[in-house]
Amino acid sequence: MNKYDRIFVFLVLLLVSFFFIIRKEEKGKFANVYYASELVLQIDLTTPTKSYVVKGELGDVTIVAGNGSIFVEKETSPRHLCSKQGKITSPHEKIVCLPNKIVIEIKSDEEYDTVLK
Amino acid sequence: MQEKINKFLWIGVIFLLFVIVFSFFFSKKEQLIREKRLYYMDTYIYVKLYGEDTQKLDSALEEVESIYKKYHELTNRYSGYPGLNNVYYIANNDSKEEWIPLDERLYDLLLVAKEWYEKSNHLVDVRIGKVVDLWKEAEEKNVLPTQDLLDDIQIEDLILEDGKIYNNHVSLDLGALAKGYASLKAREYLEENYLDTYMINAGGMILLGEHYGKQAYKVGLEDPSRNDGSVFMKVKAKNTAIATSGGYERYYTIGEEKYSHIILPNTRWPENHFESVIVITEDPLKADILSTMLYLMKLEDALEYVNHLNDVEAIFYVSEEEQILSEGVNQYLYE
Repeated sequence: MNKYDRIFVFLVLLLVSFFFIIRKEEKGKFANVYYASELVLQIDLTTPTKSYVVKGELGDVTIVAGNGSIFVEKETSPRHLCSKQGKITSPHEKIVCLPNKIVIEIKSDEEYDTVLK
Repeated sequence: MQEKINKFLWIGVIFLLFVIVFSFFFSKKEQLIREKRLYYMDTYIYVKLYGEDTQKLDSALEEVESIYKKYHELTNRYSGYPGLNNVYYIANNDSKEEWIPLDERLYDLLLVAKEWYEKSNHLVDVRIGKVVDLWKEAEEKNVLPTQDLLDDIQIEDLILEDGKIYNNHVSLDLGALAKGYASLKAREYLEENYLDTYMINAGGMILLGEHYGKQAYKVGLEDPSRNDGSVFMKVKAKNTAIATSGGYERYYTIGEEKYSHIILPNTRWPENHFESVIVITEDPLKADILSTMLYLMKLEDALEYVNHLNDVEAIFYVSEEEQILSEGVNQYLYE
């Protein structure tokens, strides 16, 4: 092996480990926000708390997310069940705002294929 | 010579690189995944299909949606639809006709409901719409209904003949079987179209086909006594249905007390033997109905009933400290 071969092998190893790192990072904790069936917002929950506004069926829905949790702060709906539900933090917890057709799900390493409520 | 070896080494390394990169991109991607989120029957319904043909999967998703939508409309207690004689219409119509013709699908569903009224020893009774309304009203007023008020409710008969229902304005609540029935129809459609790899999660009802990669699905059962989405048990299952009664549903909160949403037709009071009952069996309709029926039974009776059935298993969540399993649940548990 000459010098260039070694450099090449080194580069290959670097690239492979880079791939592993990228895949690991994908598995961080994040929240998906759906309107009807469309993914409208994806929030990385490892970031500091911030508020977001998405359009629901009956009006704007204000979502506060960050530091590992997410909750609905304000919504236009008859019973405000979503904002009453409060914070969710763990995977497979959901906030479902039926009147607004908004669903918020926390995703991370998928431990279960699905969860029966 | 040295150069030749180097060349082989280079080719080998490049080949390896390709294999690694490709395996990242194409592992688990031989099968396409299509998913859809639906909102029917007061429930968030998640549908996931696997297959090789995008078009076929997309049209199957549409069809599955139309099935849930149709049964949502037919069984809706709170609103009518133009030209559709649904549950709302049956209870609230001002037609002079003695008999009302029904959509074949609703008629068949009601026949099944009648059949289970007998099979369940009158525990599963779909005619108690007015009782349910009274409990809803009680929650809004935050006052328990009096026994007199409950006893005074007139419960009409459900009379069916030749595709028609007798027009006595019977107030139906098909909550105990509507989701199970629609899920059964969804499965029939999928299997007729050779789609055997699917998963539908409709709140208190999970419908499983084959898993796309693993031997079976790993299903978490949410802990009904906690409010944080944590799981108290996990089961492995495929080609089956899992239904729950209790757990996922809201409670009537009247004063400080919580009352379950499942009413014992006999007393017209909510029953509280369990926090939830989970039923595992192949037929989603049976799973749905049995979860309600078992929820209304005493633990000993319910356990005996299930243990006498070969193809049905159940998990009785009595409290955080006590969960009772039927005899054959073991086959679904992880070692």
